[in-house]
Amino acid sequence: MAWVERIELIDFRNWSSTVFSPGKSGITAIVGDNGHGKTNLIEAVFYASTGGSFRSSTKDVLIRNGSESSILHAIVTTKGRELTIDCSINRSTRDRHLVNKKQVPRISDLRSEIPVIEFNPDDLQLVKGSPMNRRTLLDDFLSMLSRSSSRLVDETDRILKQRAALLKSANRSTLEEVNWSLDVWDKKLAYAGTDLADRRESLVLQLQPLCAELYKELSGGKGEMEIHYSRSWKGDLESALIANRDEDLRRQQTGVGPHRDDLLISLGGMAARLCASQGEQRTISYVLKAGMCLLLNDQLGEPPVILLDDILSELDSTRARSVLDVMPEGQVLLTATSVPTSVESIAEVLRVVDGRFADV
Amino acid sequence: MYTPSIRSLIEELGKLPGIGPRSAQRIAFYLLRSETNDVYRLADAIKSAKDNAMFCETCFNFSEGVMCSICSDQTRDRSIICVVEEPKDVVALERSREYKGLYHVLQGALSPIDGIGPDKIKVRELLVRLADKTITEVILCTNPNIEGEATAMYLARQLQDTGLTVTRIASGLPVGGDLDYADELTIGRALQGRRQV
Repeated sequence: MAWVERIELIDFRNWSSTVFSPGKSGITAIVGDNGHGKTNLIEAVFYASTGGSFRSSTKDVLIRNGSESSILHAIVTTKGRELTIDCSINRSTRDRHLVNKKQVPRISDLRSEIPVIEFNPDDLQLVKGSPMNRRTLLDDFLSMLSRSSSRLVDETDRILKQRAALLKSANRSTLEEVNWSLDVWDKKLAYAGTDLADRRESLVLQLQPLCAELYKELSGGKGEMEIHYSRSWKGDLESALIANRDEDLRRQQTGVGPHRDDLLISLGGMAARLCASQGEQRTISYVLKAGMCLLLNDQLGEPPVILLDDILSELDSTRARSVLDVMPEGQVLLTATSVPTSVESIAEVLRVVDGRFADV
Repeated sequence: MYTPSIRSLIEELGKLPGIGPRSAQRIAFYLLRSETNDVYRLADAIKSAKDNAMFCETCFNFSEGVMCSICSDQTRDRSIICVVEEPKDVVALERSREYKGLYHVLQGALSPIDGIGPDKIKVRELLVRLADKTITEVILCTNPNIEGEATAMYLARQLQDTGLTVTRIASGLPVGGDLDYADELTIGRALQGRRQV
């Protein structure tokens, strides 16, 4: 199973220098007051295994105040082999990300190497927020399942940007020239976009029964959760693009394609975004990611490393325990201001005070 | 810290592709420590390459006259043209010694993000060349990335009614490599492009 053996943090967020070794038993609870650096530990694990942060898109905030760079050294085992990961995040020079001492050629390829899923309170946006949140989630899941999907996601994004640039510059050339060029980019977008939508749809079909089952378990049998992939076009994408071309040229943006699709989530037949209560929405967002953990366990033959950032605080003690119990049996790193009594017996607890481990 | 002339040298070197501020500084110090004659020879080489280099008026490869050595070589097969993006692609294909035809260098690939449309690369010039009836086949050798594929697709459409044989270079497994080292995308392409034996 995917397992973080240890991670050393140097000048990462508020941690000046420390080694974090998760417990051997599976569940490690990182406990401390707010603002003392619990989430930063989880973020470091996530950064080392994916090359990105789930909290911030600017790297400067990852580097400790007054330092020029921040360094992470991690040892992770997955698929039966041990990986050593060395990252440096630098204010003024290029970042480095080495796996087994070799620079990773494409950071997005890491996603299919080390399976990690993180949960955080903002996941609520998966239900409440814009469709982009849900598309990004599906693309991230696809990237974890195969590298070819991760390339496809990047490629589709690049084609969309090229087409958008073409639409923006269209008024500078003749209509005939624009149409010739659009024909080419439409064909490329149709090919990549259909492939991406097909992959997302088949992923949703695989997740659907897992999510329905999980939701039932966590809600005590109340309400039927369903997910469904909805395309922004009918028939084949190339014809849809051509039919929509005049509109696209006028609005200077691509109106149909995988970047306009959505993942529809319903509870008892009603749109969860509009009708579900806050608590139900929270459970749904949890179930989406937990379903993916089960699917990964199934398809990769090992559970992913599960990072739970401040997830238990919203739940009572029994529910907190059942949230952990539905997960595949693997490594869980969680943060909390206090550990619910039902979880205390199964977790190894580490206390954090002001960027240090209190026990050390 | 540095004198103005050294600073400007480091700045100019730093504008070169693949050279960051540190390499620029290292090269600048290396040059300053080198023999004066060596440095002058480098400066002359840069100047004379720039002064003498021009583009072949036929194929738009680098040339030292109005026609490059490949276009003026009468032993080459003049019925076939290989379309590439950059002069360095000509060098790569020539290294193979497999190809005896002529070239056409587009000097770029379609990329609306960079403001490059068909009018910014040598497409019109290619179409003019193809009006010559001795040419029977065009090989599209643009890069197998998004922009290169789009360029090939664009050219293929432009050429579809000309009666010319239009082919696209195959993409697939590197020769001499192991199957299990190839990435899944390359293997997927190689499978799509399989042929009967």
